[in-house]
Amino acid sequence: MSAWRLTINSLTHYRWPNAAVAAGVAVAAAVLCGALIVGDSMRASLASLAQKRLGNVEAALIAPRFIRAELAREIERALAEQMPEQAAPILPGIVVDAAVETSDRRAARRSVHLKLWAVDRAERIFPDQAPFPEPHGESVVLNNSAADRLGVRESDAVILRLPSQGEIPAESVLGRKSEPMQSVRVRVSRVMDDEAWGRFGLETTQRVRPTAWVSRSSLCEWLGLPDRANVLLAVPSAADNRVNLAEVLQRQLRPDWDDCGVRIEQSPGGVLVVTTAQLVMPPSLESALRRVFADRPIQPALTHLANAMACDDRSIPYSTITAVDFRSKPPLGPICDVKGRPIPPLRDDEIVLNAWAAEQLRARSGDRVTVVFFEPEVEQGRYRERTTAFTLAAVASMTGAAVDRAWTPRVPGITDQLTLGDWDPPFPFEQNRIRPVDDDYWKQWGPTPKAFVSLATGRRLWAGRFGETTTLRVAPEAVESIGGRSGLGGRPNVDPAEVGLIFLPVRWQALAAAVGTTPFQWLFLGFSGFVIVAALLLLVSLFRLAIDRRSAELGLMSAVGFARTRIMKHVLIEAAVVASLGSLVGTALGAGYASLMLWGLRTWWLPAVGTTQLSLDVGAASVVWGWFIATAAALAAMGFAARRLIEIPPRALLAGATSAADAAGFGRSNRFVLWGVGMLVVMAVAGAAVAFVPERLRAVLFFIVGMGSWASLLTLLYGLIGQGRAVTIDRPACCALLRLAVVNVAAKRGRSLLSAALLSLAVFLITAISAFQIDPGQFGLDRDSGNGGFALIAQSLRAIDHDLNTEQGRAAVQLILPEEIARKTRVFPIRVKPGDDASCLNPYRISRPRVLGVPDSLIERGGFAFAQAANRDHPWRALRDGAEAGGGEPAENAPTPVVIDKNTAMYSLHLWEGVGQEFAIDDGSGGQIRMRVVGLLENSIFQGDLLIAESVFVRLFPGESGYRYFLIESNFDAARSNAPPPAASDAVLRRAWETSLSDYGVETQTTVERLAELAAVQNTYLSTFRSLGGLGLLLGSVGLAVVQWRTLLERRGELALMQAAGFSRTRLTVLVLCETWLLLGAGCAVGLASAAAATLPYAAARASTPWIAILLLAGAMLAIGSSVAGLSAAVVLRRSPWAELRRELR
Amino acid sequence: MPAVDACVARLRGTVVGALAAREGMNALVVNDLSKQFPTRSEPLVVLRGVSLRLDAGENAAIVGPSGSGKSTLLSIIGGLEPPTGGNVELAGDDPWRLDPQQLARFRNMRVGFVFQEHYLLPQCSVLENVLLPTLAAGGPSRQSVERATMLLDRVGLANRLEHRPAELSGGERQRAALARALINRPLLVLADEPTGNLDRIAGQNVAELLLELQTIERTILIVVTHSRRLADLMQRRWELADGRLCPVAE
Repeated sequence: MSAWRLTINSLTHYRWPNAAVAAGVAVAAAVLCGALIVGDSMRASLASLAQKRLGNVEAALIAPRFIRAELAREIERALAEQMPEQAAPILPGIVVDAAVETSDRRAARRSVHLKLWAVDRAERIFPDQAPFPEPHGESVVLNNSAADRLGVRESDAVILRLPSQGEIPAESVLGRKSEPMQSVRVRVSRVMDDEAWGRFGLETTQRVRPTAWVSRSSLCEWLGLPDRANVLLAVPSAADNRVNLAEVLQRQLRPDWDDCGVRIEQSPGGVLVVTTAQLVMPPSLESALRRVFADRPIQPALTHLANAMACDDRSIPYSTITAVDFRSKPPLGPICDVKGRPIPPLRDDEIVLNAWAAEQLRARSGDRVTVVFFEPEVEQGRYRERTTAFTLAAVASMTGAAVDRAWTPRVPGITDQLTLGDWDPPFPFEQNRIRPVDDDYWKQWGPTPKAFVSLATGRRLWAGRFGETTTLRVAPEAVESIGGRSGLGGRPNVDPAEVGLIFLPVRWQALAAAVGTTPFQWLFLGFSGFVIVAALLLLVSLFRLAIDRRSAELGLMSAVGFARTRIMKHVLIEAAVVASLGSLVGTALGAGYASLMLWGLRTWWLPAVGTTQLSLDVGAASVVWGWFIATAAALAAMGFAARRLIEIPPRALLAGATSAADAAGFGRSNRFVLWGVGMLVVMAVAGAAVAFVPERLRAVLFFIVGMGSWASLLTLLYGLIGQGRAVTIDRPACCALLRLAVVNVAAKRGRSLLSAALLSLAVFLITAISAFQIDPGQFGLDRDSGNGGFALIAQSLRAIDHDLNTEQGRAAVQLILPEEIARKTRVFPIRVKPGDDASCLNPYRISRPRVLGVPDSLIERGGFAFAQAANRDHPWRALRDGAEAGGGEPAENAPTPVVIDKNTAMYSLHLWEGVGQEFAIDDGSGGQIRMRVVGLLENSIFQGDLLIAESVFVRLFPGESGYRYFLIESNFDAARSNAPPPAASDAVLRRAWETSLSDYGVETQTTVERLAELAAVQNTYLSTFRSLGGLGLLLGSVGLAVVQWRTLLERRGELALMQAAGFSRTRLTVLVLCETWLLLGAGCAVGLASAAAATLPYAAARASTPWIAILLLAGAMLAIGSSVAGLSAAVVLRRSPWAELRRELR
Repeated sequence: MPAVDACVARLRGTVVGALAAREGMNALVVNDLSKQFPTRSEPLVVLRGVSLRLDAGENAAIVGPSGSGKSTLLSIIGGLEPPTGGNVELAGDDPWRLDPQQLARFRNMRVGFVFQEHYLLPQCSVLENVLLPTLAAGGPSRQSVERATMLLDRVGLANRLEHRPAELSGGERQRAALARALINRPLLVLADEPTGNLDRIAGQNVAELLLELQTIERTILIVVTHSRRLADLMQRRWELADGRLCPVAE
C-alpha cells in the first residue's frame, strides 16, 4: 500500500465521476487551446495571403519616376556574372492607378478604380500556376473583382483611363494641372480568378483589389514612354537565392543619369550642364550631384520665368531670368558687360540685363527695372503674381556664358517650341502681348536668359518646397570621367538610394506585417473567456459533486491521522491526473473549436477580417501552452473547491457535511453582506474615477469596475442567501411556499450561488460588452462626432489642383452643381501621401500608413470628437502649434505633430501612451519620419490615416502635388429655404462629383457609409463575443442542469417525506421552480446591475446596447433553468415516496 | 530456594511495578471537559465538567440517551473536536495544545477509532484499508504489513486480504475496521457504537474481538454504546446525562 496505490485505486474506482470532471476540463482546454490556435491560424493565414499576393517576388524596386527597362536586364546580367548563386530574373514593369469604364452607351456607365500592371515575363511571378494569360496589343486582363464591379465578361470592350505622366510637379508654376486622363479602348481578353495575378500587389492588405494587366509595350506606347518601367521585380526561383536578395540587388544597382532623372549636356563653352526633368532639383538629388562632382567647380543656378520686365513705360513679356553668382574665371565665367569687363557678383537688389533686353527697355546702369513673375508654387490653381524692383547693375554682352541656352532647363510645351506663339504653358498666357521682336529673339536665342540676379535673391523669390536649383554647371574637366559629350552616358557615382532607387525586401516586409496588429489569440481568448469560465464553473460543480460523495473518506483520513496538507496533496494529485488527461483530450478538440471559429470568421464574422482565405494552422507551442494553462486552471479551480471541503472539521466530514456553512452555522452571513456593500462602495468610487484616468487606462478600469461590481454583488447575494436561514416557517405568514423556497436556497448556499453566478456573469459580460456597439448613424451630421459634420468624402486618382469652393475652380474641372447647392457647400481639400491602410479593416501590421495634409481651413473650422488632445480648446491647432512646442528643437528636426484616430493609434500602431507619444514611420525612401501625437480622434472617419498640417506636409513630401481627398460639408436650413431636404441634396452632390469629375477618377462615400464600414469590424467582434457568450451560456445551462439534478437527487428523501406529509407533486414542483426563479432572478439582477455600473461612463457617448437581445438571452436562460428544474422535479417525484423513505431508513 | 524465589519475586515486582508505572504514564485523564454548540437561539451545552481517568489496559463503556453527547465526548478525547473548556491528557500529552500537524500525528499514533459506520475505502482492499493509517506516517513498513496480516488473522479475515469492502458482510467490514484501528498500536481505542449496524451474532463477535484485542494490546478502550450487553462486558460503566458523566451503579 502506498500513496500512489491509493491514488490509482481512487481514480479507477471513481472513474465515472472523474470522467465527468475530465470532460469539464476538456471543454475548458478545447476553448483555451482553440483560441490560441486561432491566433496561430490568423498569423499563418495572413502570411500565406502575403505569399499568395507576392508570388515569387522577393524584392522590388518602386521608382519615383520612370526608369529604363534595360536597367532590369543590366542588374540581372551583373548578378549572374558576379554572384551566380544568387542569380534571379529581374522583371521590369509599370504599375499605375488607373480606371476602367464600361463602354456600352446604352447602359449606365460603370467605372472602377484599379491597379494596372504591365510586367514583362509576368509568368515568372507565379510559375506554378496556370499559364499567365498574357495580354497583347489593345487587350486587357481583368481579375474577377474588377470584372464583377464593371459587369463585363471576356471579349467585352472597355475604356482604360490612364493618368498623364508629367514630371514637373503640378503645383509648380510650370507644372501641368488637370491634364485629362488618356482614354484607350481595349478588349477584355480574359477574366481571371482573384488568385495569383488576380491578387498580385505590393500593398500590404488582405483584400483583393480590382486589378488589370496589359502588356508593357502597349502601356508605354499609350503613355508615350520609350521602353520604360517604374517597378523592378526580383523573382528568384530557388529558395537559396532569396537570402538578403534586396541588399545584394541594391549593391548591383548602377543607374545611369537617365535613371536618376538627370540630364547632362555640354554647353558650347564645354561646361557640363546638369538639369532634371522635374525642372527644380529635389534637395536630395542636388546633394547627391554635388557629391558626385565634389572635385570640380560647380555653379548652381535657379532660372525662372518673368511674365514681364519693365523699365519706365517699356516692357518685354515672357523672359527667362536666371539667379546665379557670377564666376570670374573660366570655364564657369566670367559674364562680361558690353565693354568686355567681367561683371562682378551682384548685390541682392541688382539685376543684369543682356544687351538685347537693355536695348528693348532702353535701360542703362542705375535704372530701375521691375520684374513681374508668378510665385513658384501654385495653390489650388491660383497663380499669384508678384512684382519686384531691381537696380540695373550692368548690361551683359551677348557673348560667352551670358548667351548659354543651357541656363534654362527643358520645359515641354515651352522650350521645345519654335516660336513664342506656339507656347502651350500651364499658366495664364496672354499671347497678344508677344511682339514680333520677341519671337525673333526666341528664334535666335531660344530660352537664353534675358536677365540675371544674384543666387540669394533668386532663391529668396523663386525657391520653394520643390527645391532651389534648376541647373548645376560643372567645370568640363570632368568630361572623361562622366563620359559622352552629350546626352546620357556612363554611370554616376551616386548612391541609388539618394535618388529614390531602393530595392525593398517586400517578401520579408510582408511576412513581418503578417504578425498583425490584433493579437488574435488573446482576442479570441477574451471572446471565449466566458465559455472558459463557464466550463471551469461546470468543472468545479462536477468536481464538488464527485468529492462531496467522498466527504466521509476525507473525514476518515483525518481521523486516522492524515494531516490536512497531506489530505489536500492526495486530492490534488488525483485532480492533477484528471486535469492532465482532460486537458489532453481538450487540446485535441481545440483544433475543432479553432476550425469552428475560423469558419465563423469566413462567414458570419467576415467583416472582422475581410477575407475568406483563412485556414487552420496548429502550432506546437499553442498546443503545449493550451494544455499547460488548462491543466493549471482546472487544478487551481479544483484545489480551491477541495480546500473548502478539507477545512471542514473531520467529525463533520464523517457526518456527511460538505460545506463549512453546513458545519459552522449561519453566523458569517452578516459578514458577507457587509463585505458586499463595502466592495460596492469601492467600485462606485472607482467608477467615478473613470473620468480622471488617462484614456489608455479606461478600458482596464472598465473591466475592473465591472468585474468588481459583479463580484461585490455576488458577495452581497451570498450573504443575503445565508440570511435566508433566518426566515422561519413556524408561524402563520403569507407566501409560506416562497418562504420555504428561501430556506431551501439558503441551505445550500454554495450551489445556490453557483447557479446565480453563472447567469449573472453571462448577462453582465454580454450587456457590458454590447454597450460598445457603434451605431454610425445615431449622431446624424454632428460637428463634434466622428463625422465632423461632413456629409461626403471624395477621393480621386488624380490630384485636383483647383479651388472647388470657387466658381472658377469648379469651372476649371467642369464640376457642375445647382447654384443653391453650390452656395451652401464647402469643400476642404486634403493632400495625400499614399500608404497602407492602417485602419481596423487591415489586419496586417503597417509601417507606412497613409498621411493626410490638413489645410488651415479645416484646422480653423475644427470639429470631430477628440478622445484626447494636447490643446483642449482647439485640438486641431496643435498640428501647427506642436512644432514650436517641440522642446526647442528647430522646426525641421522637431517631431511632426500628428492627429490620429484613437483606434488606429492604439490597435494598429500600438501607441499606448496616447498624446505626447513619439514614433516613426517609413517615408517610402528608406528613411524615417518622426512624429508626435497631439490628438486622438474618437471613432472618426480618419481611422487608418495620419493627419498632419498641410504646411508641414508640403515640406515633408514636396513631390506630392495637389489634393486627392476632399471633405464636403453641406449646410442646409430647410426651414428657411426651398432647397430639397439634406439627404436629397447630398445625393445630388454625390452624383455631380462622380459624374463631373470622372476624369479625375473620383469616388465618393458618405461619412455614414465610411463609419459603418469601420464600425462593422468592432461590431462584428462584439457579435462574435455575443455568439460565444451564448455558447458559454449553453454550457452553463448544462452545468446548471447537472447541479440541479444532483441537488434534487440528494433531496429525494426530503421530498418523499413532504409527499408523505401531504404535499402534492404539483406543489413540490412549484417549490422547486420557486427556488430556481429566486436564483436565476437574482443572477439576472446582479448581471444587469453590474453591467450598468461598468458602462455608465460610456452610456452618454453611445446608447446602442441591444437591450432586446439581452432580455431575450436572459429570458432564454430563465426558460432553460425552469425547464431543467421542472423536468428534474418531475422525474424525481415520479418514484413512490415510500420507496424513497425506505431507502433512507435502510 | 528462597534466595531464588526472593529474587524472582523482586524481579516480578520490578517488572509489574515498571509495567504499572508505564501504564500509569499512558493513562487517559480527562479534566472538567465542557462543550457547547452555537445555535440560532442560546448555545447548546452538551458536556458539563466531564472528568474521568483510565489507565492502560482498562476499558469502559459510556451509555446514555440519544443526543446526550456521548459521541461528542469521544470526538473530543480522540482529537476530532475541540472542547469548549477543560483538558484531555493521554500519556501526558494534551492533544488540544498541539498544532494541527502534531494533532494529526497524535491521532495517527496514539488513537484508534472504530465507528458505527465502518468507513472502509471502497477503492482499497481489506489489507490496504488496514494499512491506511500507516500512509499518514509515510507508508507501511514490512513490520506494518506483517502486523496488519496478523491483525486480520486475529479478526478472522486472513483469507480476505485482497477482497474489496463490497465483497464483505457487515460484520466482516467492522472487523476489518477494528484491525485498522489497532495497526499503529494506539494507546487509546475509541469505539462509537461499534455494533450499532450489526445483528446480534455479528455484534457479539465484534464485541468479543474488541475486548480480546484490547486486552492483548493493553490499550485503553472506551466504548459508546446503546447495547446493554456490550456495556456489561466493560470493566467500568459511565452514564452521560444532562452533560454530566456519572458512574453507573453495578
